[in-house]
Amino acid sequence: MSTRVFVHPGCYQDSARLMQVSRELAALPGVSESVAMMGTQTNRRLLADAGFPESELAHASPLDMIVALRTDSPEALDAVKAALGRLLEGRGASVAAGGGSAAARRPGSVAEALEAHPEANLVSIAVPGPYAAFVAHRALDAGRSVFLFSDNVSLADEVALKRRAAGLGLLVMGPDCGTAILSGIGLGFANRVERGPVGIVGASGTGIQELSCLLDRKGVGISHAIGTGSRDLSEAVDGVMTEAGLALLARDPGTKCVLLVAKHPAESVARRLHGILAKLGKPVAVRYLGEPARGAVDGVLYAGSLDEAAEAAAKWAGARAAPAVIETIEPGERGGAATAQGESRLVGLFGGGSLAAEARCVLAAHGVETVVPAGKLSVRAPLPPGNLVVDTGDDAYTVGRPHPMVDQTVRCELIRAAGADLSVRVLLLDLVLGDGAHPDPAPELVECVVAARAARGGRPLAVVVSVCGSRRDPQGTARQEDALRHAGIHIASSAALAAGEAAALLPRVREEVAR
Amino acid sequence: MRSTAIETFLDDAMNPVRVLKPLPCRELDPLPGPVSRASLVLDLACIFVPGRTRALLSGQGGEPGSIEETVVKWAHARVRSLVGTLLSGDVRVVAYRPDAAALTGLGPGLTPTGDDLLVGLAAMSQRLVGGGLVEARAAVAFSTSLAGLPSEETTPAANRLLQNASKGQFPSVLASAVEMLGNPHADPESLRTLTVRLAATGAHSGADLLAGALALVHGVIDGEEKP
Repeated sequence: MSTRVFVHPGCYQDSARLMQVSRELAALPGVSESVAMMGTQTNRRLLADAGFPESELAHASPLDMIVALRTDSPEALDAVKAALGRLLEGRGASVAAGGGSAAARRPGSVAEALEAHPEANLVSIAVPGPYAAFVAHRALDAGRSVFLFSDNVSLADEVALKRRAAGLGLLVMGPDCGTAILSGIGLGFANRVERGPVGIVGASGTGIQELSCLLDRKGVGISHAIGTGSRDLSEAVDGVMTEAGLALLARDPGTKCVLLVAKHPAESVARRLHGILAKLGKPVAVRYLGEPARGAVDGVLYAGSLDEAAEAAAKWAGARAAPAVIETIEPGERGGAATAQGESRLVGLFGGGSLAAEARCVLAAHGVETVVPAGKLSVRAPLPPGNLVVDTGDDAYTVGRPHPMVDQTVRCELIRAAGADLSVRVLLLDLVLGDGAHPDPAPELVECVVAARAARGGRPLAVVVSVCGSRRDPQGTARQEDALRHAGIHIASSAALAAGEAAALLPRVREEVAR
Repeated sequence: MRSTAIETFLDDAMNPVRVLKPLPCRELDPLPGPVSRASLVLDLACIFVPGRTRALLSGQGGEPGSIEETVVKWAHARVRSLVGTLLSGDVRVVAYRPDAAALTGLGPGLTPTGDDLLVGLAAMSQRLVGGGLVEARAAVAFSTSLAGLPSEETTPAANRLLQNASKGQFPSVLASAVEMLGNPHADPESLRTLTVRLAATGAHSGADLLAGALALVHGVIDGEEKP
């Protein structure tokens, strides 16, 4: 019996990968035992007690992967060593499996990924937060830009990464960057839109998605959509990547005009960026979500909604005007507006945080004041009073679950709870489609809306849904809309339009309009 | 991205990005509902317990003489000792430290099995404080012992998990299952779904977290205390 320990420094692997390495090596001829584990002190002690050479274990750290092997013969060890090399390259353990396709290979580190794809100039990183800054720095070391999907990255790490990237002339999109579309390639949650003349820089994932889909409905494509991560326009980060993204789009010959979308920028950052935008040299519209329209200032259009920003970009791109999708709700139809008797209010349950912000702003413009609940809504407790607009993608709702764009469980429970509250007359929802999102979300929404209505003893419940989807999205935007329509749910092509329609359904607003 | 036109190379670009994020954490619901020994017994009959969890609970698993067998035995012995200390109501942090230190960094996984067991145990100890089945100060002492574990003895991901647990923050998928365990008003189907979801987390982290939580449940039901 031969024993051997291989230590792979800095090769941290997720549990599934460690298990896969263990299993595939154990299945090789002559291998009686194979264990792949991280080099913690306890594991090193465990392996030493089990007879593995201490001298080989001594230098391992918890960031190193240890592979401990027992084989029938020393010769078998050589075969295992070769197989281990193939496994860590993301190929199969056996020689036969070694020639797998490039797509099937899964690199274990940035260096391995770049060795396999030396022509790549961007590294997409989605590792656990504690490792993310380390990995992103390795990508910058190699002169590559970064799409950083990981969250739980400290603000200090973000600032350091972005300043370093800016100095190198590279991009760090993120952390917690949900969406980017580069040269027609979607990263994270992105809609399948055509390439075209509009460039987008966004500190808001669903803001980018909504803009790209609104433009898609107008037949206008995207050159690049550069995500920056939601903290980029904070005072600490100072819009470093927004500035870098704008500079890239200004130089990009394929970009005719530029859109910027962000939530609540720090005042000092917004002021600094205004100077940059005013001198960009291309038409530019800005949508700071939640803020009212300011019109054109020094040639920069500050739009009052994402629709307005998209409309401006479409005009600059030379597109013909296309009607927005909005289905007007007739009084008396199923689930339609109620009479003015008794209390009636609106509840908005959004998957996209930016879309919720947009809806709040539009509702306010229609005279409907909304409340952001102080705590998390619970299906066990009565809904708090007032018109509510809730971002169910907020951390408070997503703990232990994927984002509601992927898993609608929590939102569906809240829809049922809202339906059971007879003071709620209008439900305002969004439905975000595209790569990364739920594969078929409309039927689930329909099911819970039907259940919510059934519990109301004949009292109507109007439901308005904004659909953020492109013509080529994998879920089939038209099919999703049809499913909603058949359930008596009303559809709008943007959160702003949906909010306006929902506001008009509230009896108090209807009366004011009538007056 | 140095060029004026942004061009990228990705070999499988239209596939969604593989999501590999750390488990999000949250505090337990302060009022998760009543809990009693009787309801815990009933719940054990309807939850999903994967093979790995059963092995850790019984101390029997893995091929004879294998590393896996040793991990299971070591982990089982240490967890059992911690359960005994908890149920004896010991309020000294130092009483928990040797077993906790022996578990941290133990076993396979990016969050090694031993760390997952500690976190599962900590979550369940907090839950059972609410039912008077675990002495509150003992649960606090145990949680405090987790904060003092040397960070260099386990992986960064596990260290983060332990630090969160010491502050009463647990992976939500664990918190949801723990809150429902022992609650007589809980729907058995939901409880089963939650434990299935927990067990499906990671390669075996979920099963290990569940084992930590259930070790204390078994201890309570069996009336285990350290002699």
